[in-house]
Amino acid sequence: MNGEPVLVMLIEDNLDHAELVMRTLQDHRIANRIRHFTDGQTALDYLFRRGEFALPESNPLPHVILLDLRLPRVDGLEVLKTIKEEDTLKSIPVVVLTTSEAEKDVARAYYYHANSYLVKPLGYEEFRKLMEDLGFYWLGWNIQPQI
Amino acid sequence: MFQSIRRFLSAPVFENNTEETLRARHLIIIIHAVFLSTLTYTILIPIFAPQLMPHMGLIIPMYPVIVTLYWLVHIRKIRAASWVMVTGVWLVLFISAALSGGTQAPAFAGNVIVILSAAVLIDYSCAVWFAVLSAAGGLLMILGESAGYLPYASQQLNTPFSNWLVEIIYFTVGIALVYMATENIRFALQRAQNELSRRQQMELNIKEQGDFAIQVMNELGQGVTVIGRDAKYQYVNSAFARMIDYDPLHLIGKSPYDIVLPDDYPVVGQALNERRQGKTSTHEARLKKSTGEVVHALITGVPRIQNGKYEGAITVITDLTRQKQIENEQGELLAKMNLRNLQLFTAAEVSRAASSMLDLDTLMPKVVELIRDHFNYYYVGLFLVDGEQDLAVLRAATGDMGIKMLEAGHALELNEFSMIGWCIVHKEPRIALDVGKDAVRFKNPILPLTRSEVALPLISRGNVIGAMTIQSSEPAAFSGEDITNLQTMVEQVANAIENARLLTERAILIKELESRNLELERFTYTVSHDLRSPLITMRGFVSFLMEDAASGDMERLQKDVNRIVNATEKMQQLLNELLELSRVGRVMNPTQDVPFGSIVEEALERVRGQLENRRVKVIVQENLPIVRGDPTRLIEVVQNLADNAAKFMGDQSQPLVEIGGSGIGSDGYATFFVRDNGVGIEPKFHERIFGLFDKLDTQSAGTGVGLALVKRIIEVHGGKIWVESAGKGGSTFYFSLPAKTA
Repeated sequence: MNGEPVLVMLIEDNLDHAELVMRTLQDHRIANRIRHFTDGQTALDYLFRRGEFALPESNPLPHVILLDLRLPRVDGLEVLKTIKEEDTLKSIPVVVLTTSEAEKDVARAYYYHANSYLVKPLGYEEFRKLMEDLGFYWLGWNIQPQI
Repeated sequence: MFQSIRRFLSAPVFENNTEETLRARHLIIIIHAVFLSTLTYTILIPIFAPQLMPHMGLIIPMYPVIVTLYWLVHIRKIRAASWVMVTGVWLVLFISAALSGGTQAPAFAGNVIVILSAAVLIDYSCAVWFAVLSAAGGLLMILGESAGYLPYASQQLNTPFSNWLVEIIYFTVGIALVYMATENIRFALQRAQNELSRRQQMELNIKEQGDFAIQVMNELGQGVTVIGRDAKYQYVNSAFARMIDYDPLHLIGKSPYDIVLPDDYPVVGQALNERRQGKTSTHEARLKKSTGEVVHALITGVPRIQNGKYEGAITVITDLTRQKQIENEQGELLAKMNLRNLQLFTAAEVSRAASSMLDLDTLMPKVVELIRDHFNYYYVGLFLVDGEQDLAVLRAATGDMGIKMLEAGHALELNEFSMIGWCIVHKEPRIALDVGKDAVRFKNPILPLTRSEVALPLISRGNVIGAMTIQSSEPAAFSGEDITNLQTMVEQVANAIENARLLTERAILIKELESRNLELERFTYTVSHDLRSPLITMRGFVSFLMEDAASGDMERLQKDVNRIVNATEKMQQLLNELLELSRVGRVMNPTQDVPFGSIVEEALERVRGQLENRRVKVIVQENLPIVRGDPTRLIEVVQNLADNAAKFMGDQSQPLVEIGGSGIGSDGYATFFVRDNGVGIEPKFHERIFGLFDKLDTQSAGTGVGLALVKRIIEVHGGKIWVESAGKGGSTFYFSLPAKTA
């Protein structure tokens, strides 16, 4: 890590799951900061710096995006598609983190250029391990593009 | 050698020309005679009459002449040889006469022989010429003698012996000539005889032919008559007499008018006139048999014209009765075949229509139109049995009158009071005709022109599924045979209708199965997804509990316990609702007629608490229609919709929910609505909201099963549900349910 504060964007409508993710990531000090959004629309507003998120200084672009697929207002796949169609955003790695194992969802996520597709494990130990690995891989080993 | 000399000396034979052959024979005889006498002279003169030796100068040149003559005959120049011979002999005789005694010389008498030869060998006129020539020669010699030019003429060189010798020669030649003349006459007689017998043979032949012709005419299959100038029969053959069943002898002297039907007199008169003008006429006429029956006949008359005068006619009569009969039979057969063809064609069309149209509402009108158009019937109607109401309901009918009756919902009871009812009850076709002693009067005011009707049962796989009525404006349009054929066709129609029905049922089943399948897929998907969520939460926070306990953070411990409890409750609720949803359709209370007003009342009673909490005003329309369905489920529908409306009121200061109906459609379904003035739903979510667990707002209460359940209940009742909302100013949920049939 290069000393620059790492920002993770979590888009998750289930508050309990969001809490689980955030606590696990913070326990391992993987992320300096996590910004949590409960619906797709608000998340997009942030990324496109619309409305209350207009100032770039206080609303930096994330290093990695954790995205749930089933979201209110704007669906997760729609969010993914929008990000990957936007020149300034498409280089941000998007990791789909969802409860759905459906083949259709996996296929569609990759079709819209998801960088990774992860299914939330049922057991906590596995969940914890996944978050740990995720942190090491995407925020540690993985070389980030300059945004 | 001998053979060739003989051939050279003999007369040639001219085939197919007896006259010429004869002439050649005569010529050769004379040449022989001349040759013989010349030879005799040559031998005898030096012995017996040496004083005649000067004549030898005349005799010797005869030999080349004789050889030339033989040669000419040999090369068949008979006429030329004749001329040379006659002329040569005459010249020799003339010169010898001139040299020895003039007119008194025996040579001069020889002219007679020359003249006769000319007559026999050449012709009569030639003989005359030689006679004149000889006379003139004699006169010339007498004159020459008296003038002293002929010194030898007066010399009496002849002796009695030489004269005798010459005369002997003349006798011989004379006999030969007489023989020839006789032969000529015999030949002419022979020819005359031949000609006579030839003519006799010819006459005999003509008579035989005539007899044969009469025999042929008598034996001929066709009638032959000979009519005189007075238009009376002079001859009739036996075939004609047989044709009209008369004795041939009785017909002689009768006229065609005696045997032709009076209706055909003009035709016969015209034919007679034409023949008088010398024209051949052909016409048809009906003849009366002696037994009174009628014979159709074709009569061709040929006029007999002799010396430019009309002498009557010969007619040939052909019996057309059988032919006419066959023509009529063929005509009937053809008409039958045409009808049968038409029926087959229509049947084929109907089958094609049936196989290409799987939709009853297209098939049935097409079938009735096809049948009516092809047979030019007045009206065709198709009834199907409505098992529930014991009625035969008109389902398709032709023309404007058909439309009228269809609109009026024309139906007949299944009893013997109507033809349709009768034929459905008895499974048999029935005819009613406006003719004969059982004449039926048709009284349907919409079908005023009907004069005959046939009702045919529609039987498919042994079951009567309806009946077809075919009506005609002709009083006796249907025969037993027609009905057999129509019945065959109608059976195809029945099968087609049954097939279409089964296909429709099958299509509905397939559609239902597909939607069930889709729902099941969605169900497994959501179960795996949505049931996982609380599990993940529970297991995650249970692990945190230990950390909380270890760190002594009791506040966080309390919060985490709450999360676990909530997740458990949520899971419980989810499982209940899933169970509930799966029960819909599987477990149904009996369908009954319920006033929709009472359903609304009961539903509102159940959500009264929520409505009052949010101060929602509810307006319910009065006199809502009666619907057919499961009341318990229908109450759940209204309850869910009202609850939802109350839930998504947002910051509306005067929350209002309206419940009402918007009428009954032609398909027998009543449409209802539940309207609110809450937050509304954006159009892009209008489909999603009915999906299982698809909550638009995660923060709001509920599991996301509610609207899916509502949709399921409505669909189980055969209805539809949809939402109308602009995204602001509230939303209206519409749904249709089967209304109670009147």
